[in-house]
Formats: sequence, C-alpha cells, structure tokens
Amino acid sequence: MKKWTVLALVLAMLLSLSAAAYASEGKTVVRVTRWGDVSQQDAERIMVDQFNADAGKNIEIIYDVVPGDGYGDRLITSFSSGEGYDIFASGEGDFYKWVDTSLTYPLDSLIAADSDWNSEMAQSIYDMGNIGGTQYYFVRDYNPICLWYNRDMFDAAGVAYPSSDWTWDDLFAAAEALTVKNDDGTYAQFGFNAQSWTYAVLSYLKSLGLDIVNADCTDVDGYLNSEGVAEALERYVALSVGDNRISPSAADLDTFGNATAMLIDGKLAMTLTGAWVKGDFENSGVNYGTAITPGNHESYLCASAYAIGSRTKNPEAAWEVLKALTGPECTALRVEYTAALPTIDAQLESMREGYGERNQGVLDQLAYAVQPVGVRGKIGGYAATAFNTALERMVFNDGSTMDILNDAVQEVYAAMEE
Amino acid sequence: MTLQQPVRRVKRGASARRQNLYGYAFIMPWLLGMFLFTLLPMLFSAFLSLCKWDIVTGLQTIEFIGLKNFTKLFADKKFYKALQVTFQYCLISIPLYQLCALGVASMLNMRIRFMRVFRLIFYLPSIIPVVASSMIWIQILGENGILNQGLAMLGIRGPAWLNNPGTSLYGLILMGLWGIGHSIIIYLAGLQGVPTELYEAAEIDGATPMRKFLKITAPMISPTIFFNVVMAIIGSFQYFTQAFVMTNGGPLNSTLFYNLYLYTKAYKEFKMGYASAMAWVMFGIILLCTLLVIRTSSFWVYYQNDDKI
Repeated sequence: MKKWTVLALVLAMLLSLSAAAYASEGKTVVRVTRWGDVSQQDAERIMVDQFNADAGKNIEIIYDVVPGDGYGDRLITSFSSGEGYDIFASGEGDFYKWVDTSLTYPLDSLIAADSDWNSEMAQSIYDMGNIGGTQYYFVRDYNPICLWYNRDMFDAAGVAYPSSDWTWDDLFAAAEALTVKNDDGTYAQFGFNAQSWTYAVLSYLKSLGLDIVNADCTDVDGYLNSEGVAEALERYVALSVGDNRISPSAADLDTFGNATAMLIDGKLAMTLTGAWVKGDFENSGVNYGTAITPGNHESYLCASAYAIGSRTKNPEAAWEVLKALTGPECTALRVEYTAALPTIDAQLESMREGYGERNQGVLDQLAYAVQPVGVRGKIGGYAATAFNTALERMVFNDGSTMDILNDAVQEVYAAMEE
Repeated sequence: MTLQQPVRRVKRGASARRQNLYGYAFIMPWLLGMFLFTLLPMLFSAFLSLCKWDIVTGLQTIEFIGLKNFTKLFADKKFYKALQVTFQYCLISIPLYQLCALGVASMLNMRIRFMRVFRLIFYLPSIIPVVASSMIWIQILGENGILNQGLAMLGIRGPAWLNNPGTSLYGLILMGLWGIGHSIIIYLAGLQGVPTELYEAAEIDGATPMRKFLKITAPMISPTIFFNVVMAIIGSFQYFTQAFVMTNGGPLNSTLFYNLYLYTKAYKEFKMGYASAMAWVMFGIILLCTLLVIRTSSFWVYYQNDDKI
C-alpha cells in the first residue's frame, strides 16, 4: 500500500513539474529575466501582465526580476545548467561576451521573416545591438556619456558655462579657475573629475579623435600605444596627481564620497558621466547643467538591452515578446516610471521639449554616441582591460608611458593568443 | 609468559544489524551532504583542472586538455603576484594576530571589575558581517579617515591606505585586527584551563610574571596556540571577501589575493578549468603548510597525559 502511495506522490510531482513548463491553457512559455528592483511601477511587469491577459496571444510570459548584485550569478547559473532564459537583459559590457559564447540568438532571420515589423528605434541606439554585422540585442535603456556641471560653482567663479564649441583646452582652463584651495593647502573644491573610469577616459580619447583599436577592431598596435594616445593620457593623468591638481584623486573621491556627491555638495564643478545621475541631482536640488563633450564630441553610449537566448525552444514566440518589451508602449511606460530615455525615435523627438533646458546636453550627445570598444569586437574587450591596467600604472608612475602602453599591447596579444 | 584473553566472537544477530542500520541512517544526511556538496564538487574540480570549460556553455563543451592549465598557471605572472601577496599577508598577519589575540586574552583573563563587559566589547566586532565591517574600514583607512586623523594628532601624515600600492596590504592587515575575537575566545578558554596550583607553586619559588608566562602559561596553552595557528593558516590562505569589497585587488595588484584571482578567472573570465587548477595548487599549499606545522608541533606543543592528536 505504502509503495503505491509513494508512487502516486512521485507521479503527482512529475506532473506538476511538467505543468510548469507549459501554461495551463497550453500556451507557449517564454521566460524573461532582467536585473532591477521589484516595483509596482515596473514597465515590463505591466506589459507582461497585459500580454498574458491577452486571450488572442498563445504565449505566456514568466517574468523574473533579479536584484542587481545577484543577476550575473543567476544568469551564469541558468546558462551552465544547459537551459538559460528565453530572453535575458545584459549590460553593454557583456554584449560581446554572450555573443562570443554563442548564448545569444541572431535576430536577423527573425527580423527578415517578420514583414510587418519595422524598427522605430533611433538608428544609433538600434545599431548598439549590432555585433559584427549581426543584430543580437534590442536596447531597453541607454545613457550617453556627456558633461555634467554645477552651475552655481561656475557663477561664483565668474566662468562661462560649457558650450558646444568648447575644446578640451577650454575645459581644462575652466577647471583650473574652478579649483579652490583652503588656507591650509587642502582642497575646497575641484574643477573637473579626471576619473579612472575606463569609459570616461576612452570617451575623452574618442573626442580627441583617438582610439585604442583600429577602425574594424582587429588590432591595437599603433593605436593603444600611439604617440597621440600617450600624450593625451599623460595630460589627463597629470590632472589628478600632485599638489597642483585640478581633479580629485582616487583618495580624494574616497574622502568626499564620490563624484556625484561632490558635485551636489559644490566640491566638484564638472564630470563626465551618464544620465543615471539625473535623479540624484534633481532630488538634491543642485543647480546643474549638461553639455556635450568637448572636442569632436564623440563619447561612449552605455546601454542595457534584451537578447533572445540561443537555447530557446521557441524563437518565434520569444521574438514576439522581445518586440513587446522594446516596443513603443513598453518604452513609454519605462520613460514614465524610471525617467529612462526613450529608444523610440518619435518619443525621443517629442521628449526634447519637455526634457528641460539644463538636460539638453544629454539629448544632443546622442548624435555623437559611439559603441564602447568592448562591444565592437573580441580584441576590444581585451584592449579595454589592458587599457585599464595601463592607466592605473600611469597614475602610480609605474614606468614610462610608452613602456606601459607597449606592455598593454603585449597583454592584449597574449590574451588573444590564449 | 603472557596470558592471552580468549577472543570471544560476538554473534552478529539481527538486532546488531538493525543497530548498525539505525546508525547509518542517522549519519546518512551528513554523509549525503558531504558526498554531494563537498566530495563530488572536489572530484569534479579535480577533473576540471585537466579541462577547458567556460561554464556558461553547458557540460557538453568540457574539453580535456591534460596538464595545460597547470603549465599555463606556472607561466602566469599574475599567479606569482597573487601568491606573493597571499604569502606576505600570511607571514605578517598570522603571527601578529596570534600575538595580539593572546595578549588581549591574557588581559581578559584577569580578575577585575566589568571583565565580562570587556570580553563582550572585544568579541563584538567578530559578529559584524565582513562586508559591513569592510565598508566601515574603507572610511577609517581613507586619506582623511579616523586612522589618519589620529596619526595627525601625533604629527604623522598618514597615507591614503587603500589607494596606495605600498600601504594597501598593510591597511587590510590592520583591519584584520578588528576580527581577532574568535581567537581571543579560544585563547581565553585555554588560559582558564591552566591549573592555578602551578602559578601558586611558581610564586612560592619567586618566579616573575614573565617567567610564569613562559614556563607555565605558554606550555600549558600550546595545544590552543597550535589549534589557532592551524586555523589561521587555513583562513589566511583563503582570504577573499575584504579584498573583494575594499580594493578588488588594486591598486596595481597590491592586494591581488590568490582567491580573488581565482574568482576572477572562474566567474569573470569563465575559465573554470584554469580556476580549478588554481584551487588544487592552493589546496596543496595549505596542506603542506598545515602538515609542516603539525610535524613541528612535537617540538613545541605540550600535551598533558599524552593526549596528542
């Protein structure tokens, strides 16, 4: 008797497990994940609920929001289990990695098969998801790196606000005028944040017309270790070193908190960063402004995007969900709830007027946004890592600049060979 | 001539077998846990150390490459840097922490008022989560942190401890003193187990406090010291969280601890085979060091009644 009871229990468990794979109404299940906080005002959640309630659709979305800290581990675990999600979100830093490990489904065939669909995204944002000529990602949220500044500090120092015709020389001169020391020699405020964040430094180089890889992202020799890059970096690093620095050092940033806090507190006049700081600035009441980066204005575009997992058993169903997640309706909700910038071209244009005069720099910067080097190709990721090490060595004066950059090139080659 | 007791053969009946089964049933959860969550992963990692595998592509992509991971490892400059940092940390921190813990435990063993409160105060930092205490220590060790403010009162200009390749490791070592509460408790227990008659006899003979410590306390608590040293060796070689949270190996790899490098290889670069090879090299190092301490213990550890391990 006992045996039969146990057998019945096991069968019941198996049935309930298999039932989880398919919705009760026989719908195809599409599992979606992204990182973030569980909130009532979650654009994706609202879209998913509407989608699932639509009787006409034969698809059931299972939506899984994972807190940011554990998201990477969750994603790796799901992939290593041999399953993985049908649709997953990724930051641009990992775009190439997932493509390189064949975990993303190429979207080109799905796009070609869907004659009714046309991208409504701004072209530069749509292209962000194109890796090596194939579309793998659809961007859900993005931030161009531009110049953010504290207007009150400029006013107090009698310095003109940054403008679109500024060169880097203009910026450094303004930063010098905005840097103030106390009587005891300690710093009261700094003019510009010459930070070691790779994206900010590489944006600085891009705006000077320099890059650490060649145009098709296949080589670094002569780029990462070019004289132009060496000179520009020497100048940049010198800004945050020594007793006449005009930028906070890493130790200063630790002391004051971080660049965002410093700008809010009137201790930092300018910094290169993304629009994720906008909420903090607005909540704090700081009188801030934005401007496009000096020079040729090019800077990196940070983005998070959705991709279809290569192990999905239902790519067509996943495609339908992907379109909904990145389409105009969900994007409008995202803009409303999270103050994200819209990916949809028409929404972007209509937003321009209501976005506020002081935020226009963010929108203007979009026209000059470029893919980060790590997204452009395999060597790009290694180049960014080696560049980071080289920059750290330069800050700590660990050899001559050219030696350090040549070492970085060798590091990239060694990584590629491996 | 020796008399031998006749060996009585115990008849193993159904009752004895049932007793054995019950015994195994009781330890089965532990055995299963040990097998599934310790032994099996260890064996899998030993196998992986001979393979190339990037974890995210599934088990089917495991590729056997023999000893290549080990040959690459021994040619990897960062591996040696990580070893150097870890050994440097161990060589400084283990004696320092043990001496401090023993010193504090000796003071906490005195019979004075509010001693229980003092014991509580010294143990409290040990129950604070490592990540939380790391965040506190980032502030303490900052250029204008509490530590440097204290040094400034003495006319010393302290460095930005964690942002300087020359001081970052020492900053972490200094921070470790905050967490010696566990060792203090164990030393305290050892000290309280020393018979008071020995001290009374020594006092009658006119022994100084230092002589009493060296001739009575130290030998009597040597098994405790031995235990703490072995645990400290194992713990120090596995140092990870504080470096991960506070410095992430920087600046200039000055705090690139072995386990931090292993983690980077496994979960940032997805080189699970390489990371497994690293894990087994570290296993060998910890085993060697522990065996060395156990071997030498016969020269410096005193066991009453020959209750050696």
